[in-house]
Amino acid sequence: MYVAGVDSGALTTKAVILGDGKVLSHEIVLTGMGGKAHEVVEMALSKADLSTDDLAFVVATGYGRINVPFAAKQVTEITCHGRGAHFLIPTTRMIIDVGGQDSKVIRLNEQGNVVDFAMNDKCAAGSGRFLEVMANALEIDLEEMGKLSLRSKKTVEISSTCTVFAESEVISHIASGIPKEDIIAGIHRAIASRVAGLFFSKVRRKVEQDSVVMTGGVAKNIGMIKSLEEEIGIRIIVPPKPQIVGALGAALIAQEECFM
Amino acid sequence: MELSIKKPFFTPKDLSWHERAKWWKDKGKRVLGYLCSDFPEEIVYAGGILPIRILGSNEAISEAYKYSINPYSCYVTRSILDIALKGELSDFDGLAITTTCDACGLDIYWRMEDQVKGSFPFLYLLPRPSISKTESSHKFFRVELFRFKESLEEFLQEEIPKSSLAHAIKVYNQNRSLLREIYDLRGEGFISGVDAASAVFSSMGNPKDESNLLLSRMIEEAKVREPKSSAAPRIHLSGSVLFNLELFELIEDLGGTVVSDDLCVGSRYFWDPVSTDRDPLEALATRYLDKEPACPCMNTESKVEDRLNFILMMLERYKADAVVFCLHKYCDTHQLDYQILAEELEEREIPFLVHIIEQNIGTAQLRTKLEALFEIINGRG
Amino acid sequence: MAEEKKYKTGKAKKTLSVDVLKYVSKYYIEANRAKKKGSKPICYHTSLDPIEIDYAMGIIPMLPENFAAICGALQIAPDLIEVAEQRGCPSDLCSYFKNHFGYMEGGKDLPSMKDAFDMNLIVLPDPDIVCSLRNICRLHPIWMRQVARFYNVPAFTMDAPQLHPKTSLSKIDDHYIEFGVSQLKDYISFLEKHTGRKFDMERLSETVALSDRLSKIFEEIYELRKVTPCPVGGEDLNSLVFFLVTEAGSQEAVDVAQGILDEVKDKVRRREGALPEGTEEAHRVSFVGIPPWHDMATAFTYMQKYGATSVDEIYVRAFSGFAGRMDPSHPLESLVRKYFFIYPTTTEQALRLINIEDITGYGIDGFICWNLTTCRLISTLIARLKAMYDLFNIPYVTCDADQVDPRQYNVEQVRNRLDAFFENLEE
Ligand code: SF4
Ligand code: SF4
Ligand code: SF4
Ligand code: SF4
Repeated sequence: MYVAGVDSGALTTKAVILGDGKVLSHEIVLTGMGGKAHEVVEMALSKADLSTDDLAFVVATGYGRINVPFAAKQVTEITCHGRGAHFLIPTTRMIIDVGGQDSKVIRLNEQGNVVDFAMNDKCAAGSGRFLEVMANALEIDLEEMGKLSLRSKKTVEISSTCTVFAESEVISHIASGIPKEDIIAGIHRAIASRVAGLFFSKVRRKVEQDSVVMTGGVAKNIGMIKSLEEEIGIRIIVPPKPQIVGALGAALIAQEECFM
Repeated sequence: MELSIKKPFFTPKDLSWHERAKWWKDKGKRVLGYLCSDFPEEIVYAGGILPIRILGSNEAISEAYKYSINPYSCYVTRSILDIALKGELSDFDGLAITTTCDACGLDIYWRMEDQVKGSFPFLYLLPRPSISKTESSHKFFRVELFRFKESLEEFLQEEIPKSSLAHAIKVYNQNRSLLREIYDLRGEGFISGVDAASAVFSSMGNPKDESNLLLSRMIEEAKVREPKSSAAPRIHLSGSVLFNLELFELIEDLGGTVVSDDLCVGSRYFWDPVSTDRDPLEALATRYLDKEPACPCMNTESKVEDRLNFILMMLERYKADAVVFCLHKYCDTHQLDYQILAEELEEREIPFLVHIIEQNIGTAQLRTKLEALFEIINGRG
Repeated sequence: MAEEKKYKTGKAKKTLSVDVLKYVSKYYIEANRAKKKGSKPICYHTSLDPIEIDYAMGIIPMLPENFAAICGALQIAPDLIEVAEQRGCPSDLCSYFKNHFGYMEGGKDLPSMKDAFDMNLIVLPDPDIVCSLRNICRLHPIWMRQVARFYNVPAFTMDAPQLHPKTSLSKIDDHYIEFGVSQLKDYISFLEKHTGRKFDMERLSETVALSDRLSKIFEEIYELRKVTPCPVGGEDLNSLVFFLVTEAGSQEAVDVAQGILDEVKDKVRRREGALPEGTEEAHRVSFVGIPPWHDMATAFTYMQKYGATSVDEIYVRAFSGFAGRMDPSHPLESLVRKYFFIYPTTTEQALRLINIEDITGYGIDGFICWNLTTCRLISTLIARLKAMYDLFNIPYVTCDADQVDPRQYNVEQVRNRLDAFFENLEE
């Protein structure tokens, strides 16, 4: 029996195909560039030599989840990230997801059920959008930021918390000849401190080793992970394909639906 | 009996401020606006004046910034200023303002007095102490209520007799117990969350005696209905002012239901009655200082424990599954109370979420948060 | 990875010889010593509480607000505020509060903090009791409640209700005074109960007399600032707030203030102005709001290039009371007058008199409104005053800032506004 999970995000759309509890294939496409949910699912299906008719159940998640007509069920990305992360890393108790629009912190119990979560307010600071704006100001690729920042010897302090102010601050740093890597390290620290705020709002007691997992595209940014680890003071585990955790969770829920 | 109210269960969206004042004024009577759920309306009602709650709205500010208002104040404050400065309250004979938080009451009073000169023939600032657990605070407030009554009498050019006050208290208490009954019926599925909320909203702007007739009819009709038994997540709403029923509707759209609250447009408005076994003004002073659930900005002593107990009591009474805090940006006092309430709920493993609102409730993100909360409650999380 | 702190250090140039920080450290050292020995109880207060009572009973008042201002001046407030934000404080909440909350919630032990505190000998001893009179903002008593919860100590709250708008400050209704006096009596019982100390009305008369003396000296200093050139600027007066806010009722404050008054008198005699030598006094401004302790240079020194100086600050004057002199033979009533009827509990009329009167008395050309985006009270006051200045056609400029947190502050933007303001004045 085959099922699919599709995560329709602001930036990218992701699909995961499961067969008998195993991941058969996945696909990631930029939402703006033809990343329509059904097309992404079909692309993933064809990788696994399957077609839509083979699917027993589809669950949609992400911001665009209500606009996925062929999905039989919509589930929030909070529950899906929880499910996906717990499947990949059973020790998961806290999930950090820095998304394009908002950042989330999700707390799980031992069974992998979500017990609590927090989302940042509408402010762009502390979200993936902040990174995008800054990459743009620095005229570098979003993808490059992580590696570049590792070369930094001296983290520059980005003193403004607001994206708009911080952007002009970054521009003036560039103008005064400060190495890009130092600026990027500063940007990472700025976001990390906001995300840490969200994190601590849901963790009052001690956090166990190996229980903090980061999901979402930003988790591929190694510099970001490093800054976050410094801020929260514990190692963060990143699953191999952090972007597809939400879609994976959706697929897992689709599978449960079939057995219900 | 034919009721004179045009539209019995209006929500703020349905009627303009002019319309709400006009039908009463057409009878040759007066209308007075008030801003806070801690305002002793009974005195006004006893003087034959219709008190109408000015809530603010989620319309964009269009006039107020021209008057240099504080952009770093909550949207409730900014919106009320805008409504008044736009002249939407020009049919009102009076405006009475309780001294509330740092940005709201006093500032609105100042601006009405200074920037909209002559806008209200009767403009009053009612000093309310922000502590209530001492005898001296009650004594003080009694003097202030007496002074308010005197000023109103001067404006009316006639005395408000004790008997009218006692009668007003009776009518208001009846309204309170009817609203409680509606809450109880809602708890059992006879009335929807949205309908119960609109009963409170409309009670804040209709003449109480007529409002009582409508509420009684609503109750009669509900009682013969089949109760809706549903497994929907039962939500307690916590916070201050909501401009309209949007949040109640959203929660119902998503499959949940609001069964209880401690909102200024909910139980904070009506829960506690006024005692009838003593001097009316004294009883009013006591009720408005001691009433539960307390507002954090007007009860700055340690009332948060009382608030917590009230919320816990409501959760039990209406079997609510979770608490949704909906707080205004720049509302410091409610946000500080939230810190403690959140800690206490977490300790008791009661699910909750907090959402900060400004002009609008911010539906897109709130939707996701609510759905995730419902998934947790339904065991899907 | 090495980190570079880049918060702008902006110490203003002072003209007076008094070393305020020395007195501040001394105060904190003595408080810590007393705490360690258990010789005197520590009571936390919010500002403008009747600490004369504490002095009369041998209790040490400590003000986390004052502490926050010092952290601001030492450039360490942002680190503490970050801790507070990580503990769930919304970023638009009062920076003074967040500074202290962050300090309690672990910021105290940050390595960077320890150095700064030890070096300057500024360590806040834990409280034995806390108190707040709500006469300024609604956050004050809640702040103390949070502290009481954290340290598990008793708390006492008082309330100064808003004056009825038709009241005149010289004729305050009896029930206001009675309400105030009865709360002060309750406060005294609270202190007696929790500290075991006995209250003595005569001692209170003495501390009230000292407090009155202090206020009077400050009033004299402000009178002297009406002359041209103004002998001392806002950078100095603001830092002197320490004495008014934590030492009202002590002999030391009176002695220091007397010394300052003599120095100012001397300067007036020599016709020496607050501006650096060779700069002529071209503009006199009034400063409205809480100053940015982290960047006093932008707030006060920067304007010197336009030959401008701040000759009046409503913030400082608020600490000596608006409702007239105190009378040591009626200490409780006097305290009520001093502490219960200041902005914002006073009337619009009084506020207008106090602020607009400045124009004539001090020869002021315009107002610099230092707006705090995290303070509901100041931002509302300033919005209100702006409307008033518009009405009277008085020049003003508003700078959006923060009193201790440079992260909420854009120095270029602020300097630009100041430039535009002074260029306009010159025309
Ligand atoms: S302008 Fe700044 S503070 Fe406002 S939402 Fe954007 S990032 Fe946040
Ligand atoms: S929050 Fe408090 S001040 Fe505001 S309306 Fe409600 S009761 Fe009144
Ligand atoms: S109590 Fe809060 S919501 Fe009500 S007026 Fe004040 S700041 Fe606004
Ligand atoms: S008055 Fe403003 S700055 Fe002072 S404590 Fe209150 S909120 Fe903070």
